[in-house]
Amino acid sequence: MIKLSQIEKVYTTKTIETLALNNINLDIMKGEFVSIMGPSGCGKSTLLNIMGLLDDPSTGQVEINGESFARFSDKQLAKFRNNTIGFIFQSYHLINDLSVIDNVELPLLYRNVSSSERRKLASEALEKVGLANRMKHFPSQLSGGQKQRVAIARAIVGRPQIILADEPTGNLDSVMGNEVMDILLKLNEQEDTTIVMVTHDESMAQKTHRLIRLFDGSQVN
Amino acid sequence: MIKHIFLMIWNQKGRNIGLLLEIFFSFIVLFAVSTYIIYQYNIYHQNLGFNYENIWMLQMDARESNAKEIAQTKDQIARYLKQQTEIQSFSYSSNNMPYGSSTSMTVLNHNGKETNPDYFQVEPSFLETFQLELMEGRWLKEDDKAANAIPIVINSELKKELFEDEDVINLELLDDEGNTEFKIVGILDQFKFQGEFSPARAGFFRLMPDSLNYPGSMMLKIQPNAGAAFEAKMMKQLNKMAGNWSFNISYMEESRKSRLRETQVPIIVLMTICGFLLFNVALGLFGILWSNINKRKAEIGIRRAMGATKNGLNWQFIGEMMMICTFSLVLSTFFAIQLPLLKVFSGPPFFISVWIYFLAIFVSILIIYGIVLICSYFPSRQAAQLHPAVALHEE
Repeated sequence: MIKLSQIEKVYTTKTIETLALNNINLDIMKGEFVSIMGPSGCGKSTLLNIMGLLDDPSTGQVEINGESFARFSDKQLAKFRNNTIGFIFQSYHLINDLSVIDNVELPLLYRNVSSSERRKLASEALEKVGLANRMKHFPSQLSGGQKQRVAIARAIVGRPQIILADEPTGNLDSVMGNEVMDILLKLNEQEDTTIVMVTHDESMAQKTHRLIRLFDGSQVN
Repeated sequence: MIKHIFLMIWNQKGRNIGLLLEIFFSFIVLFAVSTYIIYQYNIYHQNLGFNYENIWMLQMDARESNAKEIAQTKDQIARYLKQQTEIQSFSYSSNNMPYGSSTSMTVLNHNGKETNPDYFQVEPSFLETFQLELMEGRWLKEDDKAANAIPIVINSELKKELFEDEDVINLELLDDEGNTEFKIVGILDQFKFQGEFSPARAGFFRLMPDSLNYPGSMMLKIQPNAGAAFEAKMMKQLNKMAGNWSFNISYMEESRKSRLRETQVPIIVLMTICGFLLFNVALGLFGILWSNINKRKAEIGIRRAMGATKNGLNWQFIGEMMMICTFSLVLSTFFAIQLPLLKVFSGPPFFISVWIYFLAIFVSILIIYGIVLICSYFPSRQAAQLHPAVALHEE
């Protein structure tokens, strides 16, 4: 499903070169729930961004569903991301000027989906995360756990095959964190969604199928 | 996407109201300046109705002389001028001549309508001196002095104001007591004696009576090569013929330049003020957009992650600005359009036609849209170029 081959990522400034990722080789199978752990600054989020085609590797190759992206245009990449990948972030990244349902509709806005269909799919996604009664609310009126559930609804509304979650429980207390984790596990089990989750929480990582550890940009076993 | 952009704007209405007002007031000022400039431009390009080139204006003051002495001296001067090869033609006239400051107005009535035209007292040679454009009928002639009803030549503006489509040649006009006062013998095009930047006004010409107790002015059409030497020679001779009179000569081309400057200066000042205002609006828009984009970096990142293309994002930001601009323009156009609908300033002394207002609205809309498009294009493009991973890193 996701294949990373000899991925390196180097950040270059005028005076210094920083190796963020070093020779990462990774195969993630369809329906797998993988967690990535490691200390701060070890390259977890960079790896996730590369998997999500939000960032380019300095060297190496990313393949998703057998497709490599070196020659993809911006438009093709955007379309692929929209159809195949859902994103969840630690700080939710909801648009404060849009209501909950309008936030959830966002990925569908970049597809050829009618307004009524968008509303229907967004309502279904919000029902799945237990927020059907908060559709007209604005993000500022929600708790952290509710915001993250909105973010999950937004990630799944387009029925992507892959969800990339960057510390989805990082800003939440343990009760809310477990609620969010349960939703992700359910998605993985019931809908066979491939999930890659960056986390600092060992207990959350233990609930996933496989744990990948990173240290100083390199994969460690 | 349009609905989504509308939603974004509506939900950010508190933030957008300042921008909306800025565009609103800029439009109003721009509309006012555009109306004034289009109005002046239109007047400037209307037919002047006469040729001012190589015309000298000789103003005469007869001091203590009586009507008989004045008539004799004028006759003597005319005989002298006729002999000068440097002079193509000349005509005595009243003092309300082109680019001067005098005006003479009267009241004319016809079929219950009343108007206040300018009237000019001239000689038959005035037509040739100013190369007037006769449209219908004939010009004044020496025999007209003996006519019972005073023959007059009206201009097209007077024809339009008082007579509309009526056939006016040989039409007699009555005075307040019902006696015949004037008889129309011809129609001229225009005679915009106050210059290119004054609107066409109703007016008529009649012969200068012999019995006037003032000499009036003399209009001289001179040969292009006649210069200071001829002027000195002529003035010397005039002073010799009428020692107790005073003469003052001015050149119509110079008077014209001076009159044009009087109108051009306020136009240039207004355009400069308007230009600065628009520049400030542009800077303001630029600033607001930059600040918006800095505040919305995370949103840019999330939109890119969700499937927005660079180009799509660019147009979304531009679309937001254009939509705010459209709302503002709809509001300001509503106010601006009241002027042509209510025909404000459509009468004396401005005569602003309805089409001038509409053209000014159109021009102002185009300029405002242009500024908003330019000011929003670059920040929007910059926003769209943001790397999604970097943008998402912003809180």
